[in-house]
Amino acid sequence: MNEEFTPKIVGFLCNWCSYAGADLAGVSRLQMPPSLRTIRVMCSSRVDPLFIIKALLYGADGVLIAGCHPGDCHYMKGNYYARRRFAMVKSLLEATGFEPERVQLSWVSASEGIRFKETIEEFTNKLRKLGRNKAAKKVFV
Amino acid sequence: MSNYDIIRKKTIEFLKKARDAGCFKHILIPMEIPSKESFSYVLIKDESFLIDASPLPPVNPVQGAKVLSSLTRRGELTGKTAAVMRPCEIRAVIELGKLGQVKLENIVLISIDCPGLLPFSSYTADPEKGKARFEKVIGEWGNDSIRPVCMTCTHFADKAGDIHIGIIENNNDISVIPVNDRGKALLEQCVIPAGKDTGARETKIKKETDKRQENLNKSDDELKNSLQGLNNLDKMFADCIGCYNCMRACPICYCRLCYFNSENIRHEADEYIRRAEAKGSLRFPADTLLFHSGRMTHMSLSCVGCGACEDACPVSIPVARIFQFIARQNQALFAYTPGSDREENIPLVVYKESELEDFEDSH
Amino acid sequence: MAEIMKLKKSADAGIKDILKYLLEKKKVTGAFLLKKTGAGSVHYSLVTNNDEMERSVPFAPVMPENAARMLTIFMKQKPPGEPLAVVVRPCELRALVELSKLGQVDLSQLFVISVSCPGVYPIKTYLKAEKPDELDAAYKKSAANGEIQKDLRATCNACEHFLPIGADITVLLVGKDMDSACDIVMNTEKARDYLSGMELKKAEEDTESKAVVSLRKKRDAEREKLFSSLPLPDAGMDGLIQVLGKCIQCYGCRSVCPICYCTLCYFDSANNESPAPISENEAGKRGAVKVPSDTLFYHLGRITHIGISCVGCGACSDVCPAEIPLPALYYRSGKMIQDMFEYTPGKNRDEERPLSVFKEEELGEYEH
Ligand code: SF4
Ligand code: SF4
Ligand code: SF4
Ligand code: SF4
Ligand code: FES
Repeated sequence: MNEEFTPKIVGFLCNWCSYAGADLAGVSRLQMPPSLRTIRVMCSSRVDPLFIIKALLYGADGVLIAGCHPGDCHYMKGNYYARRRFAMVKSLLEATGFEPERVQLSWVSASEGIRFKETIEEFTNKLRKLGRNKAAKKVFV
Repeated sequence: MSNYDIIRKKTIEFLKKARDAGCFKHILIPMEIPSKESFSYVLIKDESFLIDASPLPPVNPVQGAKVLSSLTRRGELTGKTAAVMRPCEIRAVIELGKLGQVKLENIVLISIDCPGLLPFSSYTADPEKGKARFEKVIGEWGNDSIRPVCMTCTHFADKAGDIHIGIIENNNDISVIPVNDRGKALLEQCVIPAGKDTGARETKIKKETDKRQENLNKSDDELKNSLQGLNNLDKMFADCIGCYNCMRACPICYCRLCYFNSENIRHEADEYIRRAEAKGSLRFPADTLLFHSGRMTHMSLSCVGCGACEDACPVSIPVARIFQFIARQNQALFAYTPGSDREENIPLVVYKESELEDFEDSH
Repeated sequence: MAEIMKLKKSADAGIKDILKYLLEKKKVTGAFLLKKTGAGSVHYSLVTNNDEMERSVPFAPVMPENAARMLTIFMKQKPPGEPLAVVVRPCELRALVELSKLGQVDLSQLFVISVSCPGVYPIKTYLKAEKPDELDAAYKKSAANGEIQKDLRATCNACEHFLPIGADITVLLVGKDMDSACDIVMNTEKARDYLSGMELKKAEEDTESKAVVSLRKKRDAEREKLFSSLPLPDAGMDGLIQVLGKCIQCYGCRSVCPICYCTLCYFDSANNESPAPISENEAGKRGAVKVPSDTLFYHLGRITHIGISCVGCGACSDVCPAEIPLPALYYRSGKMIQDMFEYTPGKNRDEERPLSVFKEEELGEYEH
């Protein structure tokens, strides 16, 4: 695989935890691969499964959903529902052979700048190994 | 080389030349899908894809006007785009243009003589055979393996676009005919010699049109009897399962939220029970005829007889033939031919102060 | 305790008698079942009068519309004031249960008669049959012997739950001669109460008859075959394009699906429309792009809505003008999702749909 390839990750980051965690990673000047395109959402449960599928079909190499740790959701239960939906989408991708490895659910709190950096690094490396998302070049989608 | 391939090759050559000369940037044209079982419109930006285009596919799974409305309804194209379509598709495009659902800015319409289309389901059941059948259709013109609506279509050689591609009586070539000033200017720009209607072409078209008109009269006579009265209409739609495929496939059905998908026709259970009690029973889904006649009031003035509805019906109801039969009468009332004149308004949005007296009560 | 009773007549005639009795005694205001229409077709009808009941064909081997969908139209705005008898197939009943969880039907007003189900023919096969008698005879034969019949809907031959779950009355068809005196199972108190004035004889029978057991085995094998008939998941993206390429986006599969519960479909909404430059951009990235695109988006998106509750009824496959083998995609993906949540749609009326609930400790393997 091309060493230079930087995957495109669409990241849905919960406003209250992971977005703040990303911010902390930024102000702490932690080095991260330039792979993330951030979309701020008010809670991980705001992520409609359709968002994930659409991002993949339109060529994102990976989709990250990051929210507050279980028990810490600003809206009490949002991330538990989000986890179920995520599991549903992942099994759908498994069933249809649409590379389930391209989606990831992570919990990152506002104080976990380092964890955020590591999450991005790991996911980026994993996607590098997977290669580009072939959906990006298909004509008959 | 088969007729099909010759037309394909020559049309692609023309498009390539015109594009290279800067007449347009993108091309919207049918292409065979990877499984080779059907065709689909594609918007081509990279010219190397053009080689696989099929300007005259044997089937038309999604009507071209529907394609253009889904593309431009919410905002026009930024790059000039050539759309290569059959005459009935372009006529529907023009109707949708009047309704503001196709934004014609930046679109060059290119129509092509149409030998007819094969029924969608029979084609996809055996594409290889379908291709062979279609080759015969191009060779013979008017071969009866085409869809019944196509057999009765008299607009098959309508020069509906800005530019028209003539294939009738053109021995192994196509002729590129400018239709309006816009088309003329474009051909001049790309230095392509303008073709014109030859005598042989006109004679053949006349002959074919007469044949189709005869078919049409015959089919009208049959339909007249079977459509007389509500009971007969009920029979025509007896098997309708209310899937609304016909409405979804119709390029003209323009409502963004179909009335028949809306809460307006959903009632409380007791209301359905009352209706059942009045006759002893009520069929579900209810309101089948209301749906079809309601749809007719929306699209009949613009129905171009493309047959998309019929191709999409899972229970093989001759929807297009029925709708065309009624549509043509309504259109005749206003002397209106949908898709023939871009400047002419759809009859229901204009009026004359004195007209239609026959419809007024004389008391 | 379920009790098995013998009717004096065939399934069709016997059930008609029961329904007539219920109407006459005003136990129900109407019956919802298949009926020959005046125009000579077969559709679901709401029957309120016993003369009309004569024209009903409760067990015609066809499902022109999914009854659960029809009953949603019937009672979503406001359920009936009085009870209604319905004659539905097991998958339709399961769909009804799912829809009741979604608040779209009210089961409390329904007196449910269902069958041990031999399957149905595809709509077109049945409605357009040139020799309906032969179709009928072939059907009765395979029902009596508990056999797979290749002309039936592919999903019927692959059906997992052909004994109804939670019906008031089950009419036994599998392993039975449909023309001779039929056996019914009274599953509920309500059934005994409603039919208390009718003279019924007890029968010696077993719902898990030999024919049922053997049919289940054959269908399990057919299901494996159906599920592996598509080039998925192995062929990945190309496989999906292979399977769905023919789709004309008529959304018929959505329109007839009993589970598609959205009142305004996302794919009909303005959210799903975009201005031309978006497509131009995609064409730029890919060299060319299909228009209208989003075929895969529609289908995968639809599975995110219906997967959990898909009952594998096959309505979607019958309506598809492109004859795409949809249940192999929908039912199979749906079942994989259902298995993950250990959820069987329509099985337990009190169990919530998996996406409406959660446990604090679960699905750890999906977190990263
Ligand atoms: S009603 Fe049928 S024939 Fe007429 S324009 Fe619509 S799809 Fe075409
Ligand atoms: S496509 Fe056919 S079955 Fe479906 S609503 Fe139209 S006429 Fe009825
Ligand atoms: S019914 Fe068939 S053609 Fe229509 S949207 Fe569904 S899969 Fe596509
Ligand atoms: S997706 Fe198809 S098989 Fe599943 S419930 Fe809907 S119509 Fe039935
Ligand atoms: S608020 Fe962060 S996941 Fe709900």
